Amino acid sequence: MANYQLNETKMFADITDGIAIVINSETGIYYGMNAFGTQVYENLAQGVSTEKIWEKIKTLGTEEDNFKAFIDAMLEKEILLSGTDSGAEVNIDEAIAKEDNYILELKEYNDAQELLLADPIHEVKEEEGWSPEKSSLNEDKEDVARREAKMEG
Amino acid sequence: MNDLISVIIPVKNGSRGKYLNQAIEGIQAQNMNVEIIVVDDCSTDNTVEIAQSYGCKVVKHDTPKGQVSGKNSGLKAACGKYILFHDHDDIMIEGALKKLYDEFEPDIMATEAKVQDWYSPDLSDEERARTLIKQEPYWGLFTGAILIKKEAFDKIGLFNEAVQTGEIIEWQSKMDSNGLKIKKIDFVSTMRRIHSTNFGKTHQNTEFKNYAAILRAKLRK
Repeated sequence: MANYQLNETKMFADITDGIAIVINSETGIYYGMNAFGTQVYENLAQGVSTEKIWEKIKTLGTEEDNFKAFIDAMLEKEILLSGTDSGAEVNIDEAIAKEDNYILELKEYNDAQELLLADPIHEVKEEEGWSPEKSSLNEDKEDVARREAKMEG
Repeated sequence: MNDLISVIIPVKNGSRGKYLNQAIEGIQAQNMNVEIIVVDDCSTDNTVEIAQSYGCKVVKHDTPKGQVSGKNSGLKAACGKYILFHDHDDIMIEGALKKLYDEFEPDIMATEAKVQDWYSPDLSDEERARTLIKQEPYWGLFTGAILIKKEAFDKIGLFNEAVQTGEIIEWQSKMDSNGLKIKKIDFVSTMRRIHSTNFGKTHQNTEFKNYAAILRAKLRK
């Protein structure tokens, strides 16, 4: 039996509309899963033991090799790390598993690396405008004036 | 004279540190046939007055809508045959716009250069010490680095305003799926001003959630 958790240091994971996207924030490589894979991943990331998950999905017809390969790939890609048993119960929607023919899929993509790594941070904080948080800068008025004069120069 | 280029600067509160002034001056120093469109997202400072003082066309949002919507507002107001998006706090390098323009070929719909991170002079020494920036130039940002034929947007449509960052990923995906070619030219066109890491870190999860939404939509196609 093994337990896992998301490798939060490197990976950002988002599940919307039942589909997981995992982005490696260091490499810009990202991963997509099918809906059944997303469910199994979600259980794994929540610390549900592999034993509990397997007991459930083997009854549906998933092949053991597929399950093992799915987990091995996530470990190899460093999406998951070893974790502790959360005690949570397995939660799999059989209808979704059936739609995917009980097959777990994890695919790797590298077609947005440059864009993801460019880290465009020009987001806006409502009261601050699209500029840095002033609180993070030196507020000494003389110093600010000196530095702004330097910029004008 | 070159065909008109519309340079679109979405901005909110751009007066700080004379960032907006410097961005506009950098564009004007290109000595190209340009119209500069400043899209004001309900600034509470004198952003509009600054833009007007440089003779820029100003488009005002009635309510705050964000920088992606600002790009769309600028596109709707643009008269140019070419479009260049430019952040209000970055500075284009002299001669860069001509180089991007001259590299167009008949089957090319956009030319793309690199940007180079640069410490804003108003960052304190302490801030610089704890702010890591990319040492090498890199691809992947709109700001002052991608010149696009306006007709491309007739084919791919406007930006998706449901996301607030990462719109370039969607743009590139749409360009690819419509067979519109982007020519990369390996030079630095714009200095990307880095103010502080605080802001980026604070919003990192929001950004990644936006990216994930765009990537998910891309995979569905």
